[in-house]
Amino acid sequence: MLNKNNVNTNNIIKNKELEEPEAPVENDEFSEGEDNPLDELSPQELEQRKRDFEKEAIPHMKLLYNYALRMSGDQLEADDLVQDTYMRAFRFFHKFERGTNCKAWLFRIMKNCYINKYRKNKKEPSKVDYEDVQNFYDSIRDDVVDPNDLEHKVFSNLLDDELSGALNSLQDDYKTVVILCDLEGLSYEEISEFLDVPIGTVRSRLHRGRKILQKKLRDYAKSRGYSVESQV
Amino acid sequence: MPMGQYTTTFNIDELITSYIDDEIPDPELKRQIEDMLGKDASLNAKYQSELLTRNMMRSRMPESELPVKTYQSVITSIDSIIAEASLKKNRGTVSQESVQYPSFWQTIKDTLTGKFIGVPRYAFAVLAFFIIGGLFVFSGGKEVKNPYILAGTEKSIMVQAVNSFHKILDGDISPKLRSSNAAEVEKYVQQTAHFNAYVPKIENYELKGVECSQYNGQELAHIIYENGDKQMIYILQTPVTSVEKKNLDLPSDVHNEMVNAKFYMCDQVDETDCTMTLWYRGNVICVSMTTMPKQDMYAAFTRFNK
Repeated sequence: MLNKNNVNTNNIIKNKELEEPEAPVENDEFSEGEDNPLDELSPQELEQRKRDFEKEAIPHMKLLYNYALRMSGDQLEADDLVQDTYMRAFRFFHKFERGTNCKAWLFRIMKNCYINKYRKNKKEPSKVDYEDVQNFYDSIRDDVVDPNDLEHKVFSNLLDDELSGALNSLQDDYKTVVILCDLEGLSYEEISEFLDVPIGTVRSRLHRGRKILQKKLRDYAKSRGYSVESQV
Repeated sequence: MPMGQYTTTFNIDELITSYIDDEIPDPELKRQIEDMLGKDASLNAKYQSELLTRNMMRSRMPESELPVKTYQSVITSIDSIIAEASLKKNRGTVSQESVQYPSFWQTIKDTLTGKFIGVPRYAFAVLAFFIIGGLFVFSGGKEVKNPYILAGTEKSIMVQAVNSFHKILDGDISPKLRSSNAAEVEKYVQQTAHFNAYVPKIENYELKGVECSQYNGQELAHIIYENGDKQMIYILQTPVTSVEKKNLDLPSDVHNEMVNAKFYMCDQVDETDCTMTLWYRGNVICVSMTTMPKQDMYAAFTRFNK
């Protein structure tokens, strides 16, 4: 019988989550340093590649745009990211294995573009201090608000900007999984493929991401005068 | 037993996360979780709370539409890199051939002057040149690439504008009221089509007149301008209510662009690569068509539409 008490609730996750945060991609497989592989193709091959690309990759553009928009929070940056991603994807389309998940392949390219873009701009995507996250998580993990209160007092009264603010306040690793799962509707397997992390890590980040999100939303509600008491 | 596998790697809170996302494939484990949720009130509250958070994010943060300019810029960039790659390839081939095969032109000469069924091959080459050239000129050498024109039905305002513009060019529609007086044109539209048209003064262009027609029960005004070189700016106008009443369609992306950027401009809307511009003026939707290139139309448009 599954029992709350027979499950090791803390230590294993802590160890699993204390992985290295993602480092900027120095020389990824889609880097611009490589000679342009298109130069070798004949006009017929180029046209064929375009047709294949239009069939496989172009239909995912809206999804990628939404992801880019939510990650960057800026329409111009989202445009740039989509453009950059698709240009690289087209150049390196020969590296895409037909029959595999093109959406995940495109997401991987976009992630590299995103990281490299921040590196170029001498900024860094928010690095996750997993120990801080763990401490914060431990402090809130048992916070529960009566679901009815939560719905009526907190969520329904929050502004869309506050929701976006709460999402944007998450560190990149958590924000990514929340966006991909909750907003884009990707499965754990797809997210795992995209992030190149085990499914368990996806699950763990998602759980924590949502938990932190709840806390932020409650804080917003409190700051607007709504009384939201936690039940422990 | 799957539970053992889970309990050694996950905690119960994470199992609930998986349960919420329907990511527990094992029916037995799923049943056990449901059992626990039924018995343990605090666990159930955690579950409800997380479920609400997820559902709220889904419902309150809907997907954005892909802006048409993002789509277009990606497609245009792909075309550019193809063109660039082809050019490089051609340059490479020609220079390589001129170095390694000095008899290249001789080979071509021999090929062309040789005979096929008693006729010199160059005669076939000339014939092919005229056929291909004719097709190129006939089609303008361009393709329609605007996604809204490609996917649009006849009800689309954009398709209506393209069709009407071509009818005007072909002489199938001509202005019923020929006048260069904007006030007269406005009055004519008011009396015939029952809405207030926008008749701007366009630098270097003369107002030639107006024709009104109906499509799907909707009044349309066709206002025509021409310059000294007989280049035309045609503006289709219809009240905003035409879209609200669903007599005509306007793609939501285009509408968003018209609201946010104040206008939507595109080329590659027909085989002659005309430029189309859409914008709101009061309660009227204006759609202009011209053979002018996009950048020239942009300059003209920003001057007259103030």
